[in-house]
Amino acid sequence: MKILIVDDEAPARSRLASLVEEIDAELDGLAIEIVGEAATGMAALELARDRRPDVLLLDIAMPEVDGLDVVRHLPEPRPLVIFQTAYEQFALQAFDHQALDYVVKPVHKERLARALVRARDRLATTRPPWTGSLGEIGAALGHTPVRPARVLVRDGAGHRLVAVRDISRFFADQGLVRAATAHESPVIDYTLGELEARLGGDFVRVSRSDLVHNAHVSRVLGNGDGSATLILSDGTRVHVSRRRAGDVRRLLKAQS
Amino acid sequence: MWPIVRDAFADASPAVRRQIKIVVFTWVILVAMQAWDSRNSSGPAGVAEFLSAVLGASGVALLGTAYTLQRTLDEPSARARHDDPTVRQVLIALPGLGFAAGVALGAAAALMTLRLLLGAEFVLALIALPVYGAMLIVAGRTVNNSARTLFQYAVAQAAIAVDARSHAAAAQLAALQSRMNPHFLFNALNTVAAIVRTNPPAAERLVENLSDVLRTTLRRSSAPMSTVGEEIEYVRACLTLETERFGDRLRVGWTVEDGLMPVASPPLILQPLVENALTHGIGATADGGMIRIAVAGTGDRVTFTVEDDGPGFPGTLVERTGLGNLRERLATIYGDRAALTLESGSSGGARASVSIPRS
Repeated sequence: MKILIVDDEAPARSRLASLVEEIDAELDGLAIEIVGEAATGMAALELARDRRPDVLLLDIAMPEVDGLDVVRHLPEPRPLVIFQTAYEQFALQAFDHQALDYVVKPVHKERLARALVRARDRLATTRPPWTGSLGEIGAALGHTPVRPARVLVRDGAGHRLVAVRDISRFFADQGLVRAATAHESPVIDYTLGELEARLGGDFVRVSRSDLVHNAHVSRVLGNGDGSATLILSDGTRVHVSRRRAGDVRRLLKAQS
Repeated sequence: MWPIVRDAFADASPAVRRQIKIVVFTWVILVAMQAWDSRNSSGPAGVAEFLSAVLGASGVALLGTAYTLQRTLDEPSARARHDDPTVRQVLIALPGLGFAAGVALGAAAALMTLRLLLGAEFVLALIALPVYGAMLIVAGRTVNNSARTLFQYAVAQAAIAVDARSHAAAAQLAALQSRMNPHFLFNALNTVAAIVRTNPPAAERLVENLSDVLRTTLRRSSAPMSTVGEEIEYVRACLTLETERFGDRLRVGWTVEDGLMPVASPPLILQPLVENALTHGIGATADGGMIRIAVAGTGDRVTFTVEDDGPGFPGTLVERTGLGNLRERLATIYGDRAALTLESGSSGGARASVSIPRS
């Protein structure tokens, strides 16, 4: 069973590694191999692609790309995930039937051993699909996402980070969401609603299909029918729905 | 007293100013009539007349002053200034002033009656007595109204005091929650568990440090006042724990001006700023970052500034619980003499500063 350890704190990573090794030595049949340690969510995704771990021991609260972001972007076939969290808001019975598990910090060896045994058993059978949203899982695990400086976008088979300040808008395009920067519009694996919630304040939802970065708006033009058009700093014109026009004007006016 | 009366008169509404003018005008007429009447008086009637004139004049002067002050202090714009020490003194003196005016006017009226009995001019008494009577009524109303204003003021002050106590309690709770929040505590314990085998001396230090922080939090969060030095020491202890956890990702720079350590400061005003920078500055980038903490004295103020090089504040500022609580606390303690400012820092990160008067 190949394990990838992900935690932004070096002492925590080395302790987990030694715990896992001890458990492997004490219990028969786990055949654990630690295939890597990652200090960031981004590094975790790269290692997950390169080394194909069966199980991720994943810290949920990490800067920029947190544990939930990692889970969302994991390559197929997805490894099992055992979250580590500082404390759980409420116990998750739902985890009993899912490809997700969790341990609380400081991690108890017995609890970790149980999670690893369970992971092995699940790997032997077919993996049940995930139910419930990642947001709910995060809330249950007492996790509050922090507004990141950079976000993950698709890059070929993998992902890379783009600075939020360079993104002029997010828009829905044929069932995909794209992040527009000066040169490109890569696909991003979040819904506009999720991005709006996460990046609150800096972005304004102007219609069902557009979430615009306030700082990139250069002009607002009325269309005469209650709707409006935004001119972005790169010259792009974005339609503002009639329903949102009033709010958008007020918001942009409050900031200028 | 005179400048306040002058300002009060200038602040008064036109209606009040007209009333005051009528009072003063009547007073001048009355004194003139008495002077005219005294041409041929002597003996007891003359003394009574003299005293009546003096008492009447001073009574009217006192009443005019009291009435002017009372009417202006009752206006909404003046109510907002009730915290001003001079305004407060006037507020307290006012019922006494009105009462003195009433006594003087009452005595003048009595003397006037006496003169009437001693055979003074009937017409003068007929004019003077109703005027004195009317002024007595005004004096009574002034006493009544100013006493009521004073009472309302006292009630408001009591409410503010209760409010201050409840804010202090909320601040204590918030500080406890932030220091003893499960994330902080369990993360610190997790770090201890992680290094206890590999680096026992460091683990020992960490446990000592954690105990110190918790003990200080308990003690300080219930203290009404602290010093700049204690604030700094406390934040240093908290940061020692965090650097152990964050490792190289957290760098801290201190700039503390000499001689500020003994200056009084409310407890736990620097810590929320640092907490905010840690969560939203350092916590937002995987590369970590730098927190610059500066404590500077300029003129009669002390300013705590915490700047990070994270992604900065969102365009529309969302004030988080920790800082909102700090703002309320500052307002309770200092009114508008303290300021909490959030702005973009020189490196694009967030800069939060608190400036308090140095007293």
